Amino acid sequence: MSIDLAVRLTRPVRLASLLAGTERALQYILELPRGPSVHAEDYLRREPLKGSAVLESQSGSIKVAMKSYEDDPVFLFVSERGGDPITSEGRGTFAVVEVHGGSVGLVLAAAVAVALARECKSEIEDNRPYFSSDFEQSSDKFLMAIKGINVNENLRLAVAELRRSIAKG
Amino acid sequence: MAQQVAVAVTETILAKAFGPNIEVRQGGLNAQEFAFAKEVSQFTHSTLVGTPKGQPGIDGILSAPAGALSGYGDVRGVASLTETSRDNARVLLDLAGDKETSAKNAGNKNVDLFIRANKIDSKTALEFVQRGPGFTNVTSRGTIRSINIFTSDKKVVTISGNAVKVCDTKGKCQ
Repeated sequence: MSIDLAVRLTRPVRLASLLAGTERALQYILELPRGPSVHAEDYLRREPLKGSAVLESQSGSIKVAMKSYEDDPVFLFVSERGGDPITSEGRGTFAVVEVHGGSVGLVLAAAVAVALARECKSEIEDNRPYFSSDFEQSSDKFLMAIKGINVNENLRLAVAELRRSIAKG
Repeated sequence: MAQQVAVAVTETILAKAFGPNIEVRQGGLNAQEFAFAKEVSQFTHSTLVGTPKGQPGIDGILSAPAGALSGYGDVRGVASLTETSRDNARVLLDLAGDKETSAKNAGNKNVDLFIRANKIDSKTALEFVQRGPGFTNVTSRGTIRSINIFTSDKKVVTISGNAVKVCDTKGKCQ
């Protein structure tokens, strides 16, 4: 079952900035001296993507994974949402982070969404039931929520497990 | 050969007596995903085999259960599973569009989408589905074949092609 985080894409985002932002967010979430290394590839072509690549409507599916945790990737793509058929509320271009349940993937999805939201100065949407108690939050509020005492139990355990695993490695 | 025939005969007799042997195999699904996969399996009367984690857009393969008349292992479809706790029905259309894009980007076709909507009942979902062609547009473009919304009142609103139906969780439709 995929769990998605969506961020309104207000401008094309360079992959280099996105990956660097993801590493910073991971460092903060995991409380590590340095964020784990993150890389991206074109899912269908199975080719590594250069930092100069840009996230946009034609990007296809981008696989993002942490070094040493390649079996738990997240997938990033751009979706044109039509919004409400009558009011058009919610219409626009969104970057969607799709994760398929794994504990490492949950943490990575949160970090990618934070990096995207910071790049686009947008809110993180659709983050229930796995991430926090609100649906739309700024990146800072989202980070506070997932590091706070009311964090979703699955995510809290995932963070603890990943931190332990990285410390061992 | 004789043994294979005996197995087939036994499976057919058991299937007639007790119904086909529906299974759910976890694959890369986690515990929460696995629970929803069981509901999907019951609704579709299909065996569901979870795909590995590293695949975007899809979560499982639906196939005929052992002992079904169509034969064991006949693939019936590809399943994409997702969940939302939003109470605004618009999220259903957002998810349908997002999952269509995800499946298309990954090269999948004829995907059956299953959405667990924890805070939306069947009346609200049905009214929203009937407000415009948004859902039927998704199910007629070739990537998503059907959208099945598991609602908070234990019903399933299903959109397949241009048809919209309300069913119970065992797949019996009005």
